[in-house]
Amino acid sequence: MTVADLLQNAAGNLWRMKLRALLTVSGVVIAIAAFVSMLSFGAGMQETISERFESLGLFTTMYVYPAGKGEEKFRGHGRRSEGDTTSEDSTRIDSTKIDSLQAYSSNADSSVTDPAKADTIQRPVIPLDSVAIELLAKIPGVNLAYPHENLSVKVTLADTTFESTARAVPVSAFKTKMFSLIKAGATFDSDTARSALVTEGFALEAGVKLDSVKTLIGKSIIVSVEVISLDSAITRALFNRNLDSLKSHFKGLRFDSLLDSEYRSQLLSRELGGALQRFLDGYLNSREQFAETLSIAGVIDGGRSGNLIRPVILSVASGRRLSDAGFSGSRQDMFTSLASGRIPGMNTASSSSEEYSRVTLDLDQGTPYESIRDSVEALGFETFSFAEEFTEIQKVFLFFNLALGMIGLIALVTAGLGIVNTMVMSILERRREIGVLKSLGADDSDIKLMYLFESGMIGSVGAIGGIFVGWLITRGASLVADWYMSSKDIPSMEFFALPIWLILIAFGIGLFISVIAGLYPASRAAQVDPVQALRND
Amino acid sequence: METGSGLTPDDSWLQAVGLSRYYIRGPQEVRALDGVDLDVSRGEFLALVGSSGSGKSTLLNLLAGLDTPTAGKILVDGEQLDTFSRKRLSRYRARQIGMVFQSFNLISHKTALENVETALYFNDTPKPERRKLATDMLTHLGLAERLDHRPADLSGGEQQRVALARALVKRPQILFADEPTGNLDRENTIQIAETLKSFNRDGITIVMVTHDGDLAESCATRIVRMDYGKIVSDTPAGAGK
Repeated sequence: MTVADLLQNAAGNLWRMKLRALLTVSGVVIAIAAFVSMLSFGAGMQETISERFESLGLFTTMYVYPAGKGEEKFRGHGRRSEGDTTSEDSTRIDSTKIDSLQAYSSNADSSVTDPAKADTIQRPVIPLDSVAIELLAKIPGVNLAYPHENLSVKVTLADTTFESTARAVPVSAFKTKMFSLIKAGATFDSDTARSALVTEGFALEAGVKLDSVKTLIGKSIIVSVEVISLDSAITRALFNRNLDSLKSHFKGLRFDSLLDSEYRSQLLSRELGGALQRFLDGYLNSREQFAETLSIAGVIDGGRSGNLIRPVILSVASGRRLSDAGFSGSRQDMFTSLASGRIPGMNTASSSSEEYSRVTLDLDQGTPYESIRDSVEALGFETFSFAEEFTEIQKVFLFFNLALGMIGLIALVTAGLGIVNTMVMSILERRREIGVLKSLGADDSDIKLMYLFESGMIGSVGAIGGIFVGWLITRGASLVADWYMSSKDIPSMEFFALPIWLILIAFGIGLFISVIAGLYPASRAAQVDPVQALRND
Repeated sequence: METGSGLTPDDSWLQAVGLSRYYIRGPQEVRALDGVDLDVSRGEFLALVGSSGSGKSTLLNLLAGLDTPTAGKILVDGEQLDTFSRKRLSRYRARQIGMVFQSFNLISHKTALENVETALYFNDTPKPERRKLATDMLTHLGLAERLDHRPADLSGGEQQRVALARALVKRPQILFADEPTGNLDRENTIQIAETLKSFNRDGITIVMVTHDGDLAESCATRIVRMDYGKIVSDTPAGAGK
């Protein structure tokens, strides 16, 4: 029998027992629909995240941190370099000693890009300053290297004030994908501009609907930081007493006992303890506010999904003024200051103002991030790569999809049992027909194939129907999600995707399960004894 | 035992030697066929006659390769049939023999044409040729107007002619007919008998099982009588008259 004969025969037999075939196919349709809709959710989420990463250029973005501080810088996602140089014998060097590193970088490109060699050389810790940025920019595959600072700020727009975060970036960063999705207005064009970009997330926070973000352009915002300083602490320690309290304090002193060394010792201890308490009190609680009034130049996409893009983007000058104003007291800022070798609260404008807590690299799309990462780490820095992170996310999605797929597979196994039942019933009804076919010359494999094609056809038709029904379910769910999100003024997002691989897998599994389910009935049909089957009852 | 073929062993195409077929029915062994020797020559029209349970249908099934003997051997053109693999046995049934049954055994959901075409599925006849051969055969048997009729829409005689067309469309060397007229009236019996004789004249060897002595006498060239699983007589047709 040819394949065409087998297909025609299978279609004819299924058509004859329409109701039974329809019910069996329905079982497969439901199972495949469940399988498709569940995996479609996983695929949709993965695709959305991938598109988001792509649109923001995150696959070609890498963060660089000073060695040993990466884990503190990005919510614990930092990656320790293989040639870590934070061991005791590491030497911290001054910027003036960078010449040797430049020489190393320029005359030994191969060693920079060869982590195996880099591992064998002790690299000194170098500060993440403008010289380092120049070195980073020279690494093959790096299009742009620019520093950025994150700040915890308060933002006032008209009469609304809320807590937010800001990032100061140079205007050169606007050439990268991350800042390319302008929704309204434009980017500012000077590192000293008293302008800011805000995100759609900021607009929502400020109570502005997404369809009217244009109204924000040109408006003024006050970006302020509350800082504490050693000055305020010392002032409070020395002078934070009113006259009456000083009078009663002096009255309480026993001047005649000042000659007694034990009394003097107790008095000194008490006074120093009080001064220390007032110092700490002043350091932690006496805040000063420092504000920048800026004009909103543009609104950019982002800021709604995590903190990849900060709600407020500042010029380098504004950022520097706000960060130099003092220590905000936040844990993150404390680490930032310490990482840069600064004492929190110390005015750093005159000391190591050139040092940055992190640098962003915009990478060439064609260069593997691994080679750039190795080159950066060979220079003694730590890195965080979104591309690497995405690989980890994909692993999570793989397990997520497997779990969803297993649920769908349980339904498919049940549908498979339905196929077995239908086919066994069919054999009982068609015993004589099998006997006739054997008397006409059909061999065991012909009979087996006939039944396998029938069960395979049930699976194929069920799989095609299931894929369609699954798609309908995801469209329905997507519409409901859209409606809900728009009612909450949240921009719509696609939760489901039906990529070609999912269609092929769903069809393949539907066919595979049905053929497996048909194996036992087919084998039973092949064993029918023609003499018994043709016997006249 | 008298041999009615009148042919030398060299002429025999199909041979049964000491053929036995036993069945176990509960504690008892039933000897459906018990040491039968039979030679069938090319071009013969052999009628196996006997009462019910005499073993004639069992012998037919064994010769057709549908059943396997308990003892003895079957030789087809010098090759031992009972040693054939299942696949080779299928090929033997597909290419060398045709079978007709008392109850027609047509596939009820297929038309007359499709039923006849089915016989050509298994002997590698190309698909376009199948339809033509089936149509020609049905037309030859006077069923040109019944090609698209299903068995339920045909009379008993017509159904048996469709069954004959299905058996003969692949031009078998030998036709095994098991009570081909058992379910037919006199008129249809005569018609089927004439058809069988006509194909026999065209060179097809026929082995027909029947309990109708008159039918055997009217169309067979040799009559083998069986009883209790053994051949009791083997005579040329007309010898008893």
